[in-house]
Amino acid sequence: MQRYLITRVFQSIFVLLGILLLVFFLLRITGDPVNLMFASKMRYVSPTQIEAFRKSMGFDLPLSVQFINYFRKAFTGDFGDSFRYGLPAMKLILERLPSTLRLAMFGMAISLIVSIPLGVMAGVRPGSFWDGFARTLALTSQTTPSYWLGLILIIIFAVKLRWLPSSGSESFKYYILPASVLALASTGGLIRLTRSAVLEVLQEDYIRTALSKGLRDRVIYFRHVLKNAALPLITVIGMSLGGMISGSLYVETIFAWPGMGRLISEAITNRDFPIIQAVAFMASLIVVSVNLLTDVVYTFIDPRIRFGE
Amino acid sequence: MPSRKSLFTLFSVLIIFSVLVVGCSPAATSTPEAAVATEAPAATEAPVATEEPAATEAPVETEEAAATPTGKLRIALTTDINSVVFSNAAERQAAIASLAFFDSILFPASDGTAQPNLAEKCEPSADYTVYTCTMRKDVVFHNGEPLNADAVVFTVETLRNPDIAYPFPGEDVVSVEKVDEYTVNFNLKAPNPKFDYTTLAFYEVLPPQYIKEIGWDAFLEKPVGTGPFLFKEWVKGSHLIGTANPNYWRKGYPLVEEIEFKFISESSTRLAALQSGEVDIITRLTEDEANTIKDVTDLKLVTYPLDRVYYVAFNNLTTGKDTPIIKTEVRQALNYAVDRQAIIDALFNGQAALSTSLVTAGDIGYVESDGYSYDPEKAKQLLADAGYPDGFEIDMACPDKAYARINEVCEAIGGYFGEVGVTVNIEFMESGKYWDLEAKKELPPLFVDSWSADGNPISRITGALGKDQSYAAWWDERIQTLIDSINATGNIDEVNQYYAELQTLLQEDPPFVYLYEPYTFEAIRSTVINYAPRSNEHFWVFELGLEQP
Repeated sequence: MQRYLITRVFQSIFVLLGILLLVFFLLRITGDPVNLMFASKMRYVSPTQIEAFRKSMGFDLPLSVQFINYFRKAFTGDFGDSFRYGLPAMKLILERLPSTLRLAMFGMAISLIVSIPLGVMAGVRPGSFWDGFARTLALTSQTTPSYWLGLILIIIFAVKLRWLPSSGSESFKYYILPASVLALASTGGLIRLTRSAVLEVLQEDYIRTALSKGLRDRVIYFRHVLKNAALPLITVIGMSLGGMISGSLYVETIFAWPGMGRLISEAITNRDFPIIQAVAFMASLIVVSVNLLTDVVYTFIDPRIRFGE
Repeated sequence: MPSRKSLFTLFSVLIIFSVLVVGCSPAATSTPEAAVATEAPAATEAPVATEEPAATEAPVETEEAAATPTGKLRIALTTDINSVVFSNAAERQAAIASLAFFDSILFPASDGTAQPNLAEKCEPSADYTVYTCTMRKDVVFHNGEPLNADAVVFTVETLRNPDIAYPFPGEDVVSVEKVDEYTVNFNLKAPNPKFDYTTLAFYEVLPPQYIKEIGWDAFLEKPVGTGPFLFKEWVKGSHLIGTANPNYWRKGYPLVEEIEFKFISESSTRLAALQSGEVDIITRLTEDEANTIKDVTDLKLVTYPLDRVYYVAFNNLTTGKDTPIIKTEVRQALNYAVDRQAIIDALFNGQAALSTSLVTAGDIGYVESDGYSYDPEKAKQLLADAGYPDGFEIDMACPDKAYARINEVCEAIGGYFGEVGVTVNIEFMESGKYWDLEAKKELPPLFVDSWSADGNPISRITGALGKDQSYAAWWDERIQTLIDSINATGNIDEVNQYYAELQTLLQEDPPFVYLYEPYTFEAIRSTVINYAPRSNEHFWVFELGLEQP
């Protein structure tokens, strides 16, 4: 198991290095960051001022030197100062990260509370009302654009009913709409996966044995079925959490949520390279870490992995 | 093997942890409950509540104005502001917020003049190389420090420090010196008759003792100024709150007890926040969004042309210098070829003004003109006169979806040019690439873009046509001479005369096909009073109030 985990850790580091490399060069393909920065033409900026800014940010250096500097500093968490805020990009991200994580965790909680019971009910009683309901919800979830749903929920619950606020993050009730929208994207997949996993496990010999032994349904479903159906679910839940981090870009923009997703959304609009680079790295770090954690959890649940079978 | 309960433990921990994390989030700092409790706005048969805002002039002190500030005014800004300090403001939204906490030395009036503000007066020397400002004696900062000459000197020196993130331009200033307790001299590198408007009207004075005590970075987080509101709270990415300054020097102001700026970048969310009573003022709506509220009784639509000119630029510096566009008749023909009003009607529902040059109706020095009419026959004749009776083929670039309906506008222009025989190969470029090439002057002979200003068009004209232009590709020495003349005089009549000459030149020998100046759509609750944005979208929060029931 130790060897497996060490391999996974090295793979994760390799992925992060690749992301650092990709983000740096992909951003530069979009154009000279300094020229892009003053392109809004809100006010006249002289070529002298533009060149002074270029020099102060180190963009006058050869690309190879810029890359080496960027790579070297990235290892210490220094992605440079934001063009727009004049503050270290990583500081800005760390200020907003807790807000994004809170929203993602709340969204994940909603998703799990809805999808797992429904998936189990659908798998245990295929063809029943609950199965139809679960499949309809799954299909709706997977085909409804989050952006559209967010606006519709705002119109219904904030504008028409006035039960919930349309934007902000001040208290518990501010979480309900954005977290629900965030949860939607993963709920459908989790329902379908839970349903199919339960259906598959129910066909196994050990379930037939349990039934023939006269064990109670509750014991069979909760002790044997759900436990064995959990293996694929854990992988998908890990991936969904990563999806929620990236999905926060849209949701945080719609609901004016003060998180990392909104920060990168505005950074892209403003061509704020240090922030884009730092957010891309941080988001990747979270996704890679969650995947690594999923692998670790997997080894505890599935002994075949633990014993290298 | 893991224990039998491991699966349930895993899920339970995850769910409980999520709820706990959310439950431990920061406590509420402000809630729109009062607004939520109000009645839903009812639709009405009343006529469209659209109005153009009045221009804001220099503020008038009113002893008899509202004695006690009342109510909480909530303003939705369209972006997460980067700073509350004007010198650091990355865009207009941050600049608007800074006006709640700071005052500038002079006040930029809408007629392009600088009026008294923190300074009772600023007088230039005869050769415009020294400006002597006499500061008011009754102003104190929020922390009790007095506003005096030392504060002004400190401000200029601090903002010129290259070590701070955004050193204030003030490039004209050689030095600033204290003459007496309330008088300072600004010594300039060269004569500058516009220094009062272009610089002094934007210098917000900073508190020396406070900044020395807590440091510049801490000051940016918790600013102290002389403005109408005291800083209370700033949650990055969420909101900014100020409370009325009881010792504000402008007697009778502010009119509200508390002001809150909420940062809502999505326009439909801003609209929803207004409709649900969560905010009182919203800006930058789309036309469709504005139409949804024009008949709602407790909301008021505010619309006015922005000081931004859209155009098709000609490039006589690089790619276009050996093409037909060098000839004046060709450029005139292309101006006659486009039915701009039809574009405005079809694509903007009529909600834009026709542009006639780089000076707009809201700018100083504007001279009313009909501009080019739509006359394809005349366009063909001019092309024939220029030696192109059968037209020609030329390339044009457009910044892909960079502005509202810009792709459709480009296609329409291409169609109109085609009708007079000019075949246009349109390339829609990703906006990043486009602006990069624009700055390098490597765009095709024709390219579509826009340029903003703030009531004083010299910035736009210099940027688009001056010798140090950054994002255009046209050079005409006659234009530069007029720009120099405008910059060299402090006499408003002479300024107007030069602007008139410039506008005539820009019409007769056009460096652009002038297109339109789009309207902006904003909305306020009908209880908001004194809302008067400029054509550059700025408004001053000290004068905003709420009607009391």
